[in-house]
Amino acid sequence: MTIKMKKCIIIDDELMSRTVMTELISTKPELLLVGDFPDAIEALKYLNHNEVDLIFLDIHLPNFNGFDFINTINQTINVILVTSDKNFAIEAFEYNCIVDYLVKPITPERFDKAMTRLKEFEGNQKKKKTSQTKEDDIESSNASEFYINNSKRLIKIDVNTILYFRANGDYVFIKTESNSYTIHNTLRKIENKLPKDSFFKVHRSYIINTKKIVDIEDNSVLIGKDVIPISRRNKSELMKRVHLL
Amino acid sequence: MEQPNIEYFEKLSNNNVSFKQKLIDIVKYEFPLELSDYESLIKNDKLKEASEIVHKLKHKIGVLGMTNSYVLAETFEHSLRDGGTENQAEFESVLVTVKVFIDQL
Repeated sequence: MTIKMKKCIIIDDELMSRTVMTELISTKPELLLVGDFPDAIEALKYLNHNEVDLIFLDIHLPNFNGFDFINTINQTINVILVTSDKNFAIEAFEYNCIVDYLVKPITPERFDKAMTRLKEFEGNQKKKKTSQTKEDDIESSNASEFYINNSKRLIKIDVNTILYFRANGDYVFIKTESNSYTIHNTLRKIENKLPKDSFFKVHRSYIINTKKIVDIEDNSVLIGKDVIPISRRNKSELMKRVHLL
Repeated sequence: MEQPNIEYFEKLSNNNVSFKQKLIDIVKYEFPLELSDYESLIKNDKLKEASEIVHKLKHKIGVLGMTNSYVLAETFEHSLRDGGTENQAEFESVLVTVKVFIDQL
Protein backbone atom coordinates (compact mmCIF):
# COMPACT_ATOMS: atom_id res chain seq x y z
CA MET A 1 0.00 0.00 0.00
CA THR A 2 1.42 3.39 -0.97
CA ILE A 3 1.08 6.39 1.30
CA LYS A 4 -0.07 9.61 -0.35
CA MET A 5 2.50 12.10 0.86
CA LYS A 6 1.35 15.49 2.03
CA LYS A 7 3.32 18.31 0.49
CA CYS A 8 4.28 20.80 3.15
CA ILE A 9 6.21 24.04 3.51
CA ILE A 10 7.72 25.90 6.47
CA ILE A 11 7.43 29.68 6.87
CA ASP A 12 9.62 31.01 9.67
CA ASP A 13 12.23 33.77 9.75
CA GLU A 14 14.45 31.92 12.27
CA LEU A 15 16.95 29.49 10.79
CA MET A 16 16.94 27.51 14.05
CA SER A 17 13.17 26.94 13.81
CA ARG A 18 13.29 25.97 10.15
CA THR A 19 16.11 23.51 10.83
CA VAL A 20 14.28 21.90 13.77
CA MET A 21 11.02 21.66 11.77
CA THR A 22 12.85 20.19 8.76
CA GLU A 23 14.30 17.49 10.99
CA LEU A 24 10.94 16.68 12.62
CA ILE A 25 9.19 16.54 9.22
CA SER A 26 11.88 14.21 7.87
CA THR A 27 10.94 11.63 10.52
CA LYS A 28 7.39 11.35 9.11
CA PRO A 29 7.00 9.27 5.94
CA GLU A 30 3.60 10.85 5.23
CA LEU A 31 5.14 14.35 4.94
CA LEU A 32 7.13 15.72 2.03
CA LEU A 33 8.84 19.05 2.62
CA VAL A 34 8.76 20.98 -0.66
CA GLY A 35 10.00 24.35 0.56
CA ASP A 36 11.04 26.49 3.50
CA PHE A 37 10.74 30.24 3.47
CA PRO A 38 12.17 32.91 5.80
CA ASP A 39 9.50 35.37 4.68
CA ALA A 40 5.81 35.23 3.80
CA ILE A 41 6.01 37.05 0.47
CA GLU A 42 8.32 34.43 -1.02
CA ALA A 43 5.96 31.73 0.26
CA LEU A 44 2.97 33.46 -1.37
CA LYS A 45 4.79 33.57 -4.70
CA TYR A 46 5.49 29.84 -4.36
CA LEU A 47 1.86 29.05 -3.50
CA ASN A 48 0.62 30.92 -6.56
CA HIS A 49 2.21 28.26 -8.76
CA ASN A 50 2.38 25.16 -6.59
CA GLU A 51 -0.05 22.94 -4.72
CA VAL A 52 0.66 22.43 -1.03
CA ASP A 53 -1.30 20.36 1.53
CA LEU A 54 0.08 21.71 4.79
CA ILE A 55 1.89 24.82 6.06
CA PHE A 56 3.98 25.05 9.23
CA LEU A 57 3.61 28.74 9.92
CA ASP A 58 5.23 31.08 12.42
CA ILE A 59 2.94 33.86 13.66
CA HIS A 60 5.67 36.49 14.14
CA LEU A 61 6.96 37.16 10.65
CA PRO A 62 8.76 40.29 9.48
CA ASN A 63 6.22 42.74 8.02
CA PHE A 64 3.51 40.07 7.93
CA ASN A 65 1.53 38.52 10.74
CA GLY A 66 0.83 34.77 10.38
CA PHE A 67 -2.93 35.40 10.60
CA ASP A 68 -2.71 37.97 7.78
CA PHE A 69 -0.99 35.28 5.77
CA ILE A 70 -3.82 32.80 6.44
CA ASN A 71 -6.37 35.42 5.37
CA THR A 72 -4.40 36.11 2.20
CA ILE A 73 -4.51 32.46 1.16
CA ASN A 74 -8.23 32.40 2.05
CA GLN A 75 -7.86 29.53 4.56
CA THR A 76 -7.59 27.07 1.69
CA ILE A 77 -4.62 25.08 3.03
CA ASN A 78 -4.31 23.34 6.40
CA VAL A 79 -1.97 25.15 8.79
CA ILE A 80 -0.03 24.12 11.88
CA LEU A 81 1.04 27.22 13.77
CA VAL A 82 4.55 27.14 15.18
CA THR A 83 5.24 29.98 17.57
CA SER A 84 6.95 31.10 20.76
CA ASP A 85 3.84 33.01 21.73
CA LYS A 86 1.07 31.28 23.68
CA ASN A 87 -1.22 34.29 23.54
CA PHE A 88 -2.72 33.63 20.12
CA ALA A 89 -4.18 30.18 20.88
CA ILE A 90 -7.77 31.41 21.21
CA GLU A 91 -7.57 33.51 18.04
CA ALA A 92 -6.01 30.55 16.23
CA PHE A 93 -8.97 28.26 16.73
CA GLU A 94 -11.30 30.74 15.11
CA TYR A 95 -9.74 29.66 11.82
CA ASN A 96 -11.14 26.50 10.25
CA CYS A 97 -7.85 25.66 8.57
CA ILE A 98 -5.71 25.61 11.74
CA VAL A 99 -4.96 22.06 12.78
CA ASP A 100 -2.72 22.62 15.80
CA TYR A 101 -0.76 25.23 17.72
CA LEU A 102 2.82 24.29 18.57
CA VAL A 103 4.80 26.33 21.08
CA LYS A 104 8.55 26.50 20.50
CA PRO A 105 10.83 24.80 21.30
CA ILE A 106 8.99 21.80 19.84
CA THR A 107 9.71 18.34 21.16
CA PRO A 108 9.45 15.20 19.00
CA GLU A 109 6.64 13.98 21.29
CA ARG A 110 4.58 17.14 20.76
CA PHE A 111 5.21 16.93 17.03
CA ASP A 112 3.88 13.32 17.03
CA LYS A 113 0.75 14.58 18.76
CA ALA A 114 0.29 17.23 16.07
CA MET A 115 0.48 14.51 13.41
CA THR A 116 -2.25 12.53 15.19
CA ARG A 117 -4.37 15.69 15.29
CA LEU A 118 -3.71 16.25 11.59
CA LYS A 119 -5.07 12.77 10.75
CA GLU A 120 -8.22 13.40 12.82
CA PHE A 121 -8.63 16.87 11.32
CA GLU A 122 -8.34 15.54 7.75
CA GLY A 123 -10.79 12.74 8.55
CA ASN A 124 -13.35 15.28 9.75
CA GLN A 125 -12.74 17.46 6.68
CA LYS A 126 -13.37 14.44 4.42
CA LYS A 127 -16.67 13.64 6.18
CA LYS A 128 -17.75 17.26 5.94
CA LYS A 129 -16.81 17.39 2.25
CA THR A 130 -18.82 14.23 1.46
CA SER A 131 -21.99 15.55 3.09
CA GLN A 132 -21.45 18.96 1.48
CA THR A 133 -21.11 17.39 -2.00
CA LYS A 134 -24.40 15.50 -1.53
CA GLU A 135 -26.11 18.72 -0.49
CA ASP A 136 -24.65 20.60 -3.46
CA ASP A 137 -25.63 17.90 -5.97
CA ILE A 138 -29.26 18.30 -4.94
CA GLU A 139 -29.03 22.05 -5.48
CA SER A 140 -27.26 21.79 -8.84
CA SER A 141 -28.94 23.61 -11.72
CA ASN A 142 -28.24 25.31 -15.04
CA ALA A 143 -30.09 28.57 -14.42
CA SER A 144 -29.23 31.50 -16.69
CA GLU A 145 -29.69 33.96 -13.85
CA PHE A 146 -29.64 33.89 -10.08
CA TYR A 147 -30.12 36.18 -7.13
CA ILE A 148 -27.55 37.18 -4.55
CA ASN A 149 -28.16 38.59 -1.11
CA ASN A 150 -26.30 41.90 -0.99
CA SER A 151 -26.84 44.17 2.06
CA LYS A 152 -30.35 42.76 2.61
CA ARG A 153 -31.27 43.28 -1.07
CA LEU A 154 -31.75 40.45 -3.52
CA ILE A 155 -29.94 41.38 -6.70
CA LYS A 156 -30.50 39.52 -9.96
CA ILE A 157 -27.37 38.57 -11.86
CA ASP A 158 -27.36 37.35 -15.43
CA VAL A 159 -24.95 34.41 -15.46
CA ASN A 160 -23.62 35.46 -18.88
CA THR A 161 -22.34 38.76 -17.45
CA ILE A 162 -20.19 37.12 -14.77
CA LEU A 163 -16.45 37.30 -15.30
CA TYR A 164 -15.20 35.31 -12.31
CA PHE A 165 -15.65 34.32 -8.65
CA ARG A 166 -12.91 34.58 -6.03
CA ALA A 167 -12.99 32.81 -2.65
CA ASN A 168 -12.19 34.97 0.36
CA GLY A 169 -12.53 32.96 3.59
CA ASP A 170 -16.24 32.54 4.28
CA TYR A 171 -17.05 35.04 1.51
CA VAL A 172 -16.99 35.03 -2.27
CA PHE A 173 -16.17 38.03 -4.43
CA ILE A 174 -18.14 38.13 -7.70
CA LYS A 175 -16.95 40.24 -10.61
CA THR A 176 -19.42 40.92 -13.41
CA GLU A 177 -19.05 43.06 -16.55
CA SER A 178 -20.46 46.10 -14.78
CA ASN A 179 -20.27 45.46 -11.03
CA SER A 180 -18.63 43.57 -8.22
CA TYR A 181 -20.21 41.99 -5.13
CA THR A 182 -19.09 40.18 -2.01
CA ILE A 183 -21.45 37.57 -0.62
CA HIS A 184 -21.38 35.15 2.30
CA ASN A 185 -21.02 31.79 0.57
CA THR A 186 -18.46 29.20 -0.50
CA LEU A 187 -16.92 28.63 -3.90
CA ARG A 188 -17.90 24.94 -3.75
CA LYS A 189 -21.60 25.73 -3.31
CA ILE A 190 -21.54 28.26 -6.11
CA GLU A 191 -19.60 25.98 -8.46
CA ASN A 192 -22.37 23.39 -8.34
CA LYS A 193 -25.00 25.94 -9.33
CA LEU A 194 -23.18 27.20 -12.40
CA PRO A 195 -23.50 25.93 -15.99
CA LYS A 196 -20.67 23.42 -16.35
CA ASP A 197 -20.04 24.27 -20.02
CA SER A 198 -18.99 27.87 -19.37
CA PHE A 199 -17.65 27.99 -15.80
CA PHE A 200 -14.47 26.32 -14.69
CA LYS A 201 -12.49 26.28 -11.45
CA VAL A 202 -8.98 27.24 -12.59
CA HIS A 203 -7.52 27.58 -9.10
CA ARG A 204 -8.59 26.65 -5.58
CA SER A 205 -9.73 30.25 -5.10
CA TYR A 206 -11.10 31.10 -8.55
CA ILE A 207 -13.93 30.04 -10.87
CA ILE A 208 -13.89 31.80 -14.23
CA ASN A 209 -16.39 32.21 -17.04
CA THR A 210 -14.44 30.59 -19.87
CA LYS A 211 -16.43 32.59 -22.43
CA LYS A 212 -14.86 35.77 -21.03
CA ILE A 213 -11.23 34.73 -21.42
CA VAL A 214 -9.16 37.40 -23.18
CA ASP A 215 -5.92 35.42 -23.23
CA ILE A 216 -4.04 32.65 -21.49
CA GLU A 217 -0.39 33.00 -20.65
CA ASP A 218 1.74 30.48 -18.73
CA ASN A 219 -0.04 29.96 -15.44
CA SER A 220 -2.54 32.80 -15.64
CA VAL A 221 -5.59 33.84 -17.60
CA LEU A 222 -6.77 37.36 -18.40
CA ILE A 223 -10.48 37.95 -17.73
CA GLY A 224 -11.56 41.51 -18.42
CA LYS A 225 -8.62 43.45 -17.00
CA ASP A 226 -7.84 40.99 -14.21
CA VAL A 227 -5.13 38.34 -14.21
CA ILE A 228 -6.32 35.11 -12.61
CA PRO A 229 -3.86 32.35 -11.58
CA ILE A 230 -4.30 28.85 -13.02
CA SER A 231 -3.14 25.94 -10.90
CA ARG A 232 -0.94 23.45 -12.69
CA ARG A 233 -3.43 20.69 -11.89
CA ASN A 234 -6.26 22.47 -13.74
CA LYS A 235 -4.39 23.89 -16.70
CA SER A 236 -4.66 20.86 -19.00
CA GLU A 237 -8.44 20.63 -18.37
CA LEU A 238 -8.81 24.33 -19.17
CA MET A 239 -6.84 23.89 -22.39
CA LYS A 240 -9.25 21.11 -23.44
CA ARG A 241 -12.15 23.52 -23.03
CA VAL A 242 -10.78 26.27 -25.25
CA HIS A 243 -11.02 25.80 -28.98
CA LEU A 244 -7.53 25.93 -30.41
CA LEU A 245 -7.31 26.49 -34.17
CA MET B 1 21.32 31.29 38.27
CA GLU B 2 19.82 28.78 35.84
CA GLN B 3 22.42 27.33 33.46
CA PRO B 4 21.97 26.53 29.76
CA ASN B 5 22.42 23.05 28.32
CA ILE B 6 22.22 21.25 24.96
CA GLU B 7 19.88 18.40 26.02
CA TYR B 8 17.28 19.53 23.48
CA PHE B 9 19.83 19.34 20.67
CA GLU B 10 20.91 15.88 21.85
CA LYS B 11 17.32 14.67 21.96
CA LEU B 12 16.50 16.05 18.50
CA SER B 13 19.68 14.79 16.88
CA ASN B 14 19.19 11.26 18.28
CA ASN B 15 22.94 10.46 18.22
CA ASN B 16 23.41 12.13 14.84
CA VAL B 17 26.61 14.02 15.64
CA SER B 18 26.64 16.15 12.49
CA PHE B 19 23.04 17.29 13.01
CA LYS B 20 23.79 18.17 16.64
CA GLN B 21 26.75 20.21 15.45
CA LYS B 22 24.54 21.90 12.85
CA LEU B 23 22.13 23.04 15.60
CA ILE B 24 25.06 24.28 17.71
CA ASP B 25 26.46 26.18 14.71
CA ILE B 26 23.07 27.82 14.10
CA VAL B 27 22.70 28.98 17.70
CA LYS B 28 26.30 30.26 17.62
CA TYR B 29 25.44 32.16 14.42
CA GLU B 30 21.97 33.51 15.26
CA PHE B 31 22.36 34.39 18.95
CA PRO B 32 25.13 37.04 18.57
CA LEU B 33 23.22 38.71 15.71
CA GLU B 34 20.01 38.86 17.74
CA LEU B 35 21.93 40.04 20.82
CA SER B 36 23.52 42.83 18.82
CA ASP B 37 20.12 43.87 17.36
CA TYR B 38 18.62 43.85 20.87
CA GLU B 39 21.40 46.03 22.33
CA SER B 40 21.12 48.53 19.50
CA LEU B 41 17.32 48.81 19.75
CA ILE B 42 17.36 49.19 23.54
CA LYS B 43 20.06 51.84 23.25
CA ASN B 44 17.85 53.76 20.81
CA ASP B 45 14.77 53.29 22.99
CA LYS B 46 12.93 51.34 20.29
CA LEU B 47 11.07 49.16 22.76
CA LYS B 48 8.46 47.64 20.46
CA GLU B 49 11.08 46.58 17.90
CA ALA B 50 13.21 45.27 20.79
CA SER B 51 10.27 43.09 21.91
CA GLU B 52 10.35 41.36 18.49
CA ILE B 53 14.03 40.50 19.02
CA VAL B 54 13.39 39.35 22.59
CA HIS B 55 10.79 37.04 21.06
CA LYS B 56 13.54 35.40 19.00
CA LEU B 57 16.04 35.37 21.88
CA LYS B 58 13.36 33.70 24.00
CA HIS B 59 13.34 30.79 21.56
CA LYS B 60 17.14 30.45 21.87
CA ILE B 61 16.81 30.51 25.67
CA GLY B 62 14.15 27.80 25.32
CA VAL B 63 16.20 25.49 23.11
CA LEU B 64 19.03 25.81 25.63
CA GLY B 65 16.75 24.32 28.27
CA MET B 66 16.40 27.42 30.48
CA THR B 67 12.75 27.05 31.38
CA ASN B 68 12.61 29.70 34.12
CA SER B 69 14.53 32.19 32.01
CA TYR B 70 12.14 31.48 29.14
CA VAL B 71 9.25 32.63 31.34
CA LEU B 72 11.25 35.71 32.37
CA ALA B 73 11.96 36.49 28.68
CA GLU B 74 8.27 36.17 27.88
CA THR B 75 7.33 38.62 30.65
CA PHE B 76 10.01 41.05 29.48
CA GLU B 77 8.87 40.72 25.85
CA HIS B 78 5.31 41.68 26.82
CA SER B 79 6.58 44.50 29.02
CA LEU B 80 8.58 45.97 26.10
CA ARG B 81 5.59 45.61 23.79
CA ASP B 82 3.62 47.74 26.26
CA GLY B 83 6.42 50.32 26.41
CA GLY B 84 7.91 49.20 29.76
CA THR B 85 11.32 47.86 30.76
CA GLU B 86 10.52 45.79 33.86
CA ASN B 87 12.84 42.79 34.34
CA GLN B 88 15.40 44.28 31.93
CA ALA B 89 18.36 43.72 34.27
CA GLU B 90 17.35 40.10 35.01
CA PHE B 91 16.82 39.40 31.32
CA GLU B 92 20.17 40.87 30.37
CA SER B 93 21.96 38.77 32.98
CA VAL B 94 20.38 35.69 31.32
CA LEU B 95 21.77 36.91 27.99
CA VAL B 96 25.24 37.16 29.52
CA THR B 97 24.97 33.59 30.84
CA VAL B 98 23.85 32.33 27.41
CA LYS B 99 26.61 34.23 25.65
CA VAL B 100 29.30 32.74 27.90
CA PHE B 101 27.85 29.26 27.36
CA ILE B 102 27.62 29.63 23.58
CA ASP B 103 31.17 30.98 23.33
CA GLN B 104 32.39 27.80 25.02
CA LEU B 105 30.47 25.43 22.74
